[in-house]
Amino acid sequence: MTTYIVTSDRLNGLKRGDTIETADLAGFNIEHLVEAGHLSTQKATKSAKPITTEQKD
Amino acid sequence: MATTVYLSNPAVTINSVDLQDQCTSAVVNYVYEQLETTTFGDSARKFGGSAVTSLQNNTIEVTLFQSYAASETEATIFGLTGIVTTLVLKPTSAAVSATNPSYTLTGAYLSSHTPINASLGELSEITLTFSGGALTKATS
Repeated sequence: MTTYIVTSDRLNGLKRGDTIETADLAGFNIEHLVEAGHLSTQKATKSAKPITTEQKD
Repeated sequence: MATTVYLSNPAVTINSVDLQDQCTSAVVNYVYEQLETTTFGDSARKFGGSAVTSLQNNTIEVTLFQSYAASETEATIFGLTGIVTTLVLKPTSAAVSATNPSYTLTGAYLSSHTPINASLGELSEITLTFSGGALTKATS
């Protein structure tokens, strides 16, 4: 089962960044949703080590 | 008398993509083909009957403002031409209920699309007709 990342704000009931699986998209054309930029098959990558900046007086 | 006035919020999703903010018109036609069952001896034409189930012949027609921006109308619709998809329409965007039923057309076919429909000084609109598929109504 493939997991997709939501990449637009237009998918019904989902937000950008949410993940969704093939089974949740039954009846919909997943390939086209990917082509149209609503879904991505790329895995979410961990962001680099957080950089903390201290404010200097 | 309770009537329904469409001000701004019917929910329209095409292939699970919410296009409510681009949509200006939506029509759901729930149709069963009319099969004649008139026989000798009848004095009037008859159609259908308890033992006759005809095929659904549904259509949904929507009018959308055209937009070529990322994830907008054109990106969503162009690739659906010539294939089947699922549409969900509700009178309002509120939760599905007996007074806000959702209508789902599964297996609807989009045979044509007009990527450019431009007139000087007017907003570009496209009208799409999705044909076929089975229509179901949900109230919860």
